[in-house]
Amino acid sequence: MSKRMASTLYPLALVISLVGLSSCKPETSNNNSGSNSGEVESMPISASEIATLKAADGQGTESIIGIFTSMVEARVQQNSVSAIVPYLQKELDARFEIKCAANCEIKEREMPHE
Amino acid sequence: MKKLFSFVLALVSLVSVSAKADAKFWVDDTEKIVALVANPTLNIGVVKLEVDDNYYGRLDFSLNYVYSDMNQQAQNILKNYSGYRAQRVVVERLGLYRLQIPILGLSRNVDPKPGADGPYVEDAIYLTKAQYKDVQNELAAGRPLVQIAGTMVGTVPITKPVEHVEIGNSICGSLLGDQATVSSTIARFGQVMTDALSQLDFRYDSTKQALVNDIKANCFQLASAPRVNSFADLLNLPLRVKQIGRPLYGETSKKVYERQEIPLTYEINQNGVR
Repeated sequence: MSKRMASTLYPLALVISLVGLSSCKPETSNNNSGSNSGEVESMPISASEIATLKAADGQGTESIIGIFTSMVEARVQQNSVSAIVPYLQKELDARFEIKCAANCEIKEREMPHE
Repeated sequence: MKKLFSFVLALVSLVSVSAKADAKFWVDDTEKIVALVANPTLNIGVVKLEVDDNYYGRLDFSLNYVYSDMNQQAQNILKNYSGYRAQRVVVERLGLYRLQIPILGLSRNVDPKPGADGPYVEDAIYLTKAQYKDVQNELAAGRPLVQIAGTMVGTVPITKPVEHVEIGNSICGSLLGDQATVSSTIARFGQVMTDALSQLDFRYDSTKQALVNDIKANCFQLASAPRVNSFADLLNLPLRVKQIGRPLYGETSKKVYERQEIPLTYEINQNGVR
């Protein structure tokens, strides 16, 4: 009960660190959400972003949303938001295990060595 | 011979007390400066002359700047502002000061003189034998003997808002739309904000950024307890409008120099013998 309440009342104060999204590139009609990942792949997840996510282990859900939106922000000059969001989601789910209740556990998945 | 005798008596009968006040100060966090107006020290001395009953004593007083007191005032303030430096504010008088010595029934204006550290006052009042005794009794009883009040003016640095732009909190609903999630809000945010901000006039980019930050910080909250097992879940978390009951705003503050009145109030009610 208390956990649930606490989570609900999170001042998502956030978190929604949509910094700079107000100047993002407008959506265009030829963006097929999720299918134009080739455009976004030119901006792979950087080592510093991976480090930031690893360091976020144990933080609240809102913090993780904030990190995600910062990653979106870093790509909006070159890509549309509708392309970036599914791309990042897919990439992050492939690289990390995440579980959030009150706080989030984030662990990098073991990648098979080539 | 009589004069010499009086002079010798004066030396051994001097009673001196002083009053100090804390410095007034203004903090500039941007440049890490504490601008301060050190207060002068009020000193009085009671001298026994015994020339005759009409010139039995003399009350000397001065409101002047004492380096050690000024330095102490600055140090007292700076100890709470590590890494800041003190900057002296140049002050001048604003009109006459009011001097009151209740036991003598005296209330009159005095004219402060301009000095390097600020306006100062030096004066003396001759005392009859009865007045001399009254003054001694007041000092012994610890009652206020001399009160002096006035106003100085100085130009001090003040940080204050130079631009304030508001937008109604209905923008939060526009940003979220229906059945809002983290993902849909991210997608809507750019366009809605661009439209909303274009309706407003900003003199400073920092005001616009502050407004965007206020919106981000205070428009949304998670609609329910998060249960997340993937980033896909994270993006699907529902959001709702946060009720803040005020407009959202951005502000830019800057340091400006303003002429300010600095009141002075002193009262001697201590006793000391030198």
